Amino acid sequence: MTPFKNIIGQETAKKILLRSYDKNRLASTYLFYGPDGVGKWAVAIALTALVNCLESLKDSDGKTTDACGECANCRQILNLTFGEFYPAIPLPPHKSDSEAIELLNEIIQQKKKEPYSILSSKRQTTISIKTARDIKRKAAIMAPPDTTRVIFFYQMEKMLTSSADSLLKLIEEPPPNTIIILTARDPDNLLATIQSRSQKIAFKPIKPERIEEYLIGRFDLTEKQAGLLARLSEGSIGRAINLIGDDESPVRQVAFLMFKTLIQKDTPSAVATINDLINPRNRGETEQVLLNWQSFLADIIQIKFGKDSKNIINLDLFSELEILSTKFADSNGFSKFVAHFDEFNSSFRLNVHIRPAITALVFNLRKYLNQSS
Amino acid sequence: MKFNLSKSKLSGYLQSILQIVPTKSTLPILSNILFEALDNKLKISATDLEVSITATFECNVTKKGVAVLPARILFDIIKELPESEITFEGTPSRVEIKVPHGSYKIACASADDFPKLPTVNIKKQISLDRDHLVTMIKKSTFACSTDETRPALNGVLWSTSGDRMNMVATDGHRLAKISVENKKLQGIAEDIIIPPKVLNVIPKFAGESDEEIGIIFGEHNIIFNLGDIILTSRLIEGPYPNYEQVIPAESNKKLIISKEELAGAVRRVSILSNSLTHQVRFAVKNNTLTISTTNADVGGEGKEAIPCDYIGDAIELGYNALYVSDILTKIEGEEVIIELSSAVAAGIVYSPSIPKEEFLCLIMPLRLAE
Repeated sequence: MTPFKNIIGQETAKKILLRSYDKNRLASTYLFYGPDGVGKWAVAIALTALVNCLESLKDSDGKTTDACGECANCRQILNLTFGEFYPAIPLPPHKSDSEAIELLNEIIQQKKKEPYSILSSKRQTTISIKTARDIKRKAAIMAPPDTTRVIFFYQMEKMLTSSADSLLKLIEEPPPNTIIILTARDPDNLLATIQSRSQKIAFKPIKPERIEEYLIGRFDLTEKQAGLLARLSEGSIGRAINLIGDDESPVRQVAFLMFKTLIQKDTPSAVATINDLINPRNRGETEQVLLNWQSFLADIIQIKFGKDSKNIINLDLFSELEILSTKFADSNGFSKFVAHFDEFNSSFRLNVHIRPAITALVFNLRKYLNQSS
Repeated sequence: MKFNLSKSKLSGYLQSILQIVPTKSTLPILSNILFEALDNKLKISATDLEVSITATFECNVTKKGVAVLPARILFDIIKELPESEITFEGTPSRVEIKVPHGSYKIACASADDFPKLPTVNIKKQISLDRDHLVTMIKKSTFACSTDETRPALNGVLWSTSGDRMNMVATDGHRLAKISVENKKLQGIAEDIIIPPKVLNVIPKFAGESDEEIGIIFGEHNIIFNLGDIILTSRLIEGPYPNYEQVIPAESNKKLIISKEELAGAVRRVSILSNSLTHQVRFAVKNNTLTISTTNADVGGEGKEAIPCDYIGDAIELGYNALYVSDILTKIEGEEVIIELSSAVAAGIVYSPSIPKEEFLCLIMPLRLAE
């Protein structure tokens, strides 16, 4: 399938870009913003392909509909081996340039395999000043004729303000034949000076039906499982993928152990055990734990109120989950439990301290659980 | 694809090609070499996207084809082989290297992923004496800046004025300008800025000293034709700052001094200089140059006096010792002339044997702490 056609949802973004391309009025700097895992990466790649495609596709009215996906340039771009695509990606702390290159290449491989995947890392990640400098140096070298160079700052909010400041000139006046694409969850997390220098394009959560379709096409899932994941994902394919139960994953096993403690033990021992098991230095892992809890909760909802056991995500844990579900006697307390967990989950993605946040969560959830039992 | 050639021939070309292959890159494909077996010719290329290199040479090709092979692995294997005839045979996905007592099989990268090598819209083509070019390169690239905030200064300016061809490099603290008479270059419409990387590899390619190097000026790149080997480099976006205005037109002080003595004294005194600024003090008075430094961190001071010929009022200036040493290595002859005007203006350094119109260096003074 061709690059734009491959993108799930984001019709407005696609339309704006294709129309601007046809009118020869592409902006020099774009800011793609919206939740993680909804296709900002995929659209950036598709745009790179479109502006470099040797045989772009047109409809009967002569309007461009897509890049061909077949020509030499398209193939390199889709393979992420195109020399004129300069990605700047947040990386965890590293000791050397060569380690940074390895980390970057790992991410590129991950994104090549699954463009919607959400990057997660044990440590806080940043786009370093060195990356910003390298990009500036590369940008000063002339792009080859008949090529449009794309400089791609992925998750721009992960760049320190001082580094971002140093890029203002580049962003305001990119060199000839160059498009800069920035991505962010929320444009307000970026410097106002950067926002004002770029054309903003909003990325919306994707409809659950489309996510379901995508999941079934790519993973070994039943329609029911995919549907459930899609509903749990809050419109993000990346989150849905993270939710897919990997039975062997040690994180999932630890997550289940914590979840059982949370529900079966008394409050003090639940707090103690979970505090023991949680790794406060590993944000990515904690996010995984929370995603797993979300899927366990979804299963309990199914067990209590659903009619079809095919809807269960964590089939291997079915009998244990069934026992846990009996702890929620009162549906009022249970609904508060679920609502609070949901709220916590979205605020956790803002920068909070892991251990105190999780401790507070356990206290609150235990409160609703006591009401419920 | 099938071809055979001698070990020494291949290893020689691979060694040249490896100068360009990056050791580690965000594009792993760049650590590979593209082999193209053509009619009785073998073409091998590598690129780091900024500089590309292609070697084309005669070779016994029995079957045409293309393969992309990992540069280091291939070179390490070939290097270790005894002198013999080597046969390469394979498909775009796997190549077998047959040697007298065995064979090596290497998986290839996809030729589709290998970057397109640059094409050139030729604007002007000239040829230059190899020695000439190498001298110009060696006397200019050292002054290039590495500061990315002024990208144009990261390269060497190649320009023409009248019948002279100039190479200029500066980082704002020092400047080198070499100029030679060359009518061939006339008509290059605009000045070009060349990244130092390609210039610095040219002297490494062994060649006959009387050989000429063909140079093709393109719109976006420059090509150096070194016979079997062709180097292509992208250019840096201009404009280059107006450097002429920093070269003082008149100086009222002139110092002539032995280059060896000056270089030695600067080297020794600078050992005690501040490790960040490398500042040394030059004081000239009555045909004596005194070079001194004090370093509060180490608690030391150094001083040397050298006799010189000096015309002008007494003056004191601060210089970065590293820059002075760098420049002195580029000056030919036994003596060096330094023209000065004030303690804050650039000093002009050149050799008595070469007029300053042909080669000069500028060095900006440092503000002296009182």
